[in-house]
Amino acid sequence: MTLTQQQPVRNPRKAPGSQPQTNDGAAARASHVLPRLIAPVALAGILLTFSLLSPNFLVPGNLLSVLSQMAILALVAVGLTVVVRAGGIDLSIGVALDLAALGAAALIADGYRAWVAIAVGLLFGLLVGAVNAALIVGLKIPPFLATLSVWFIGTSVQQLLTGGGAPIYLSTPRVPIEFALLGRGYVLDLDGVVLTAAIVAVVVAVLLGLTRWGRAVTVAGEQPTAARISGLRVNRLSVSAYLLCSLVAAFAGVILAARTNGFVPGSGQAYLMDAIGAVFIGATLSRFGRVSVPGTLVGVLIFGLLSNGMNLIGLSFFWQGLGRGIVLLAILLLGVLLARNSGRPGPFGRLFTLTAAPRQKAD
Amino acid sequence: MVHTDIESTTGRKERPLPNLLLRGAGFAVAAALLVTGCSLKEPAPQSGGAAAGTGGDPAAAAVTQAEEIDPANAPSLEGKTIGIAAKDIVHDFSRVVYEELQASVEKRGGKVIATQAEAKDGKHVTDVENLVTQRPDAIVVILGDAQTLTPALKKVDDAGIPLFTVDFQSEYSVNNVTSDNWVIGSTLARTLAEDIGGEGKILAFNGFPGVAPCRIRYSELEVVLEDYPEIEILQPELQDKYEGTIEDAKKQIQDQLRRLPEGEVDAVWSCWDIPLIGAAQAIDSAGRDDIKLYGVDAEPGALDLIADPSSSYQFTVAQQTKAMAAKSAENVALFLGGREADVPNTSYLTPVFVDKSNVNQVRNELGI
Amino acid sequence: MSAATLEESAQAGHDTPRRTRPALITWAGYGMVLLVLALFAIGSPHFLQWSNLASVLNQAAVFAVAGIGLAIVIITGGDDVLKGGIDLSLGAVAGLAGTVTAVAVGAGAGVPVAVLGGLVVAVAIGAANGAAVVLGLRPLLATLATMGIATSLELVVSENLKVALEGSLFLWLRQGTVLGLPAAVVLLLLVAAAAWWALGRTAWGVNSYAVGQNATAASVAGLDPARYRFFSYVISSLLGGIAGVLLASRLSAAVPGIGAQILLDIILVAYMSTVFSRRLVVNIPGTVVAAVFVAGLANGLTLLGVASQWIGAAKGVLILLVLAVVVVRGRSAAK
Repeated sequence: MTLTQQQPVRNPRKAPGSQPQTNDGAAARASHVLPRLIAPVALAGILLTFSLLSPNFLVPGNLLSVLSQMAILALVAVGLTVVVRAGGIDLSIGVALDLAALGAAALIADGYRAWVAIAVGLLFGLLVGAVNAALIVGLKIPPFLATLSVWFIGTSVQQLLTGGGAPIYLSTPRVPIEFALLGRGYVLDLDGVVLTAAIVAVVVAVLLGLTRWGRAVTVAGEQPTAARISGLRVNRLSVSAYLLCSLVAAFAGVILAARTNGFVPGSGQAYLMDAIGAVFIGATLSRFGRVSVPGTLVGVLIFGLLSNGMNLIGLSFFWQGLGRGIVLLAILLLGVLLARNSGRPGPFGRLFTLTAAPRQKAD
Repeated sequence: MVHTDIESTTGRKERPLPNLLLRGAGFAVAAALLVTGCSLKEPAPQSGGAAAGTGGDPAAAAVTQAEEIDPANAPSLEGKTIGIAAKDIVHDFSRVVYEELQASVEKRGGKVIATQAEAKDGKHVTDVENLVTQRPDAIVVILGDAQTLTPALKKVDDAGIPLFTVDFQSEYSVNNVTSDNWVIGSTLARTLAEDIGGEGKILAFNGFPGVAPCRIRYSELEVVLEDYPEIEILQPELQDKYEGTIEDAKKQIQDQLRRLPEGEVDAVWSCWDIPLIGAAQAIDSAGRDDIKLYGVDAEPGALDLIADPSSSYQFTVAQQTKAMAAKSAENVALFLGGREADVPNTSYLTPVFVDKSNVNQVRNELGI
Repeated sequence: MSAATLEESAQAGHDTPRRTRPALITWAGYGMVLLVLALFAIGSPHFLQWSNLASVLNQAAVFAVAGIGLAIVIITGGDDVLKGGIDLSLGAVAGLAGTVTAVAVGAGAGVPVAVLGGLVVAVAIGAANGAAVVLGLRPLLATLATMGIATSLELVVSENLKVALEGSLFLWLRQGTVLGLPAAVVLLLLVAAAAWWALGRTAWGVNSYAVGQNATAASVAGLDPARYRFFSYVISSLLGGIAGVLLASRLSAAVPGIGAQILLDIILVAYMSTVFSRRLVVNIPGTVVAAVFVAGLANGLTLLGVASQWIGAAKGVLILLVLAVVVVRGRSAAK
């Protein structure tokens, strides 16, 4: 993880707590705050734009439905947040999702009780995490390549397990009510999935933000060498991060199976790119450019509202990718530019690597 | 305060689950929990017995039913190697043809080299090229389109290997086994137009205008609508994707339902069933019974919905996939057995139109 | 510095262990590949036939050309995937360039103008990538955004329809030969030779490696990392554009959405090149070998009659195996 040579230079700044945030007037403080406001401002901008363009956008019903549309992506992105915080990446997150959905749907179709299906689904997903951990921590294969390989393998495994990719459809009378509730339950008028996703997000946020494990994972991710020297069990922390990530993704998969009332191979990877984007949009919210669950959720909200809004104003899908790409690029670029204008190597060290080098020269 | 929006469907046969592994996992858990003495399976509801009982062999039944020539008389493929290149096995149609074709060839004593391109045009070309180098006795290409495949098919031709196709027309093909996509397209469009009373607005999923069967069906929709000037295809058309199709289509339709309040949309059209499964989930749970859904392929998940009287899913078209695979294998065998005159340029198999009135009957007959 | 980056030893100092590494082990990557290919040759009499080999090389050409572009980005940007150089937009750029070319030809533009148009669009996206990265955006994110933009532009230009690509140049690229070699392979060899020469034999190449491995040191030494990085993205997109025209010629049409279909293999090929390097760095000849290997793998497995469902798994497992060999080799060498 320590390839970037700028790191030694930035390390002192990055260490949480040891931030030498000094003196400077209100102006400097504003310049620190500004870049962090981009994502929220973008969110507000999206809300404003679409509520002007479509009368159906800013109504409770629609916003609630956006929330339930986003739930799966939110779970996937939250899972990814854990791994990125631990200094890795998981490209196979969709595989964990798919295998969990497959396991759960197959057992339900086979007549098993809901909790058995859910447990086996989660186990299937965890298995992916365990393989990743073994490859990355055990064999020391770089996370990007290891999880890319697992992606290839996972796609194959799905085809083999489903007789070449046959979807599994659950006919309703055979679906236990508990399982159906998981994906299609409502609490008052709120989609139960939103609630479930929110609970998971809070749990992971607390784990990452408030526990000793969370702090250790953060240090291990940002400064593995220092963490190792200070006696942290870096390997064990990495393993736990990959396992937690796959567990959350697996949970998303089980919910997806309950929601779509079945399993269609290859559903999971569709979330990967959006999840990566959301996680790193979220990082702009942090002073340290650190990814976090709340930040990730803001990123997910941006994507969710954007695609909902573009559908509501009747924008052809030809142009929707352009819209998303430009918004993503604009948010991230603005972040860099504002951080630059602050004139000092601010909070964006971790997110925006290259600023360091030229600055070095200027110093 | 907790309720579900689950639709109720009539009982149906469960498709046998192919993999032992999953069951193994289930059994492992079961074994572990035997100690506690609690049952892992749901007490079987009315259709529980059927699942086990019919798990047997609906497939074999359908194939024999489809067989037109007495197998005893049919030429064998003993000692022959047949290369098979499928464009994808993502949806039921291509997957069933792919697997049944292999089974059919092997039943006639032939050896199979099978490839599938994961819906990637580039890989489909590569697959065909790789097959050519192995000099099989014949090559069968399942789906594809002339535009990107023709150069590769020419190589097949140049190598002197007879080429057979399923569901797409090529100048190099000895025989194309297909449903009549023009009939499917126009009947689908006609039924839709008649059902909504000759006027209204429809949403169309049109993400694969380059895929030949989809192109034909969409063109037929346009042809039919020429005579229904009061029916309008809403813009923008929607995108159906290969990955995560159901959930993605569901989201899009949810958004469209907000954009298009009651009376603004009367039907949803798609050239295959899978996006409409998501669409039906969105429409049914929103209670929009003013919208009707029309698709093709007879995916089991779609048939479930059509069988449900309260679902918006109206109509699909079952292609006789197993029969098509058997027919193609038979044509290959006839051709290689020297009976070239018996192999027509195109073998059409009649599509079966499925609506709410005949869905259970069709399922029984075709074993789907 | 790739597979070994995770190791403490790599951080301690890369140079000493490398020099003392036993020569035999350094060929482990090639050894694995040869072993696999030998198995194919034994398993199928068709594998070593010239027509089959030519077709494998032909299939590899697109991935190799684009992979070389990605390799240059990785070399110049450092190979840490999260923070270093990566170009996710490469597949989409290839698709867009092919589409623009095909649409231009269809609109009656001359072949050179059409190809030029496709390449100019590709370079423009590359310049946008480069600018965003130089401004300080993570390459992973910058190119993720431009990937979406390029994919969308491709839909807009093609109206989501396949666009036929006709013309003698494209026909030649598809089936022409030079001295018995397929035209696409000749093009690949030219590109590879040029890239290899530029990276290995010119100041630009040496500096690119320097910038990629230690930007701080490079800038202290008076190099401007920003400049090298900007141009690495431009070059990468240019090669992506060439690969796109090659792919469209091969398919005789520009196919919408093809970018997403080829991206993974491009990334795979570029990163796998580390296996074929004594110093475990991304490199040009390795990229070409990796592309040929990946194409040969699918071809060989098909020839052996392996069901295609297994091929993805086999690909993943073999790649892991090769990576594991490299890592073990790095570890033992470091001792």
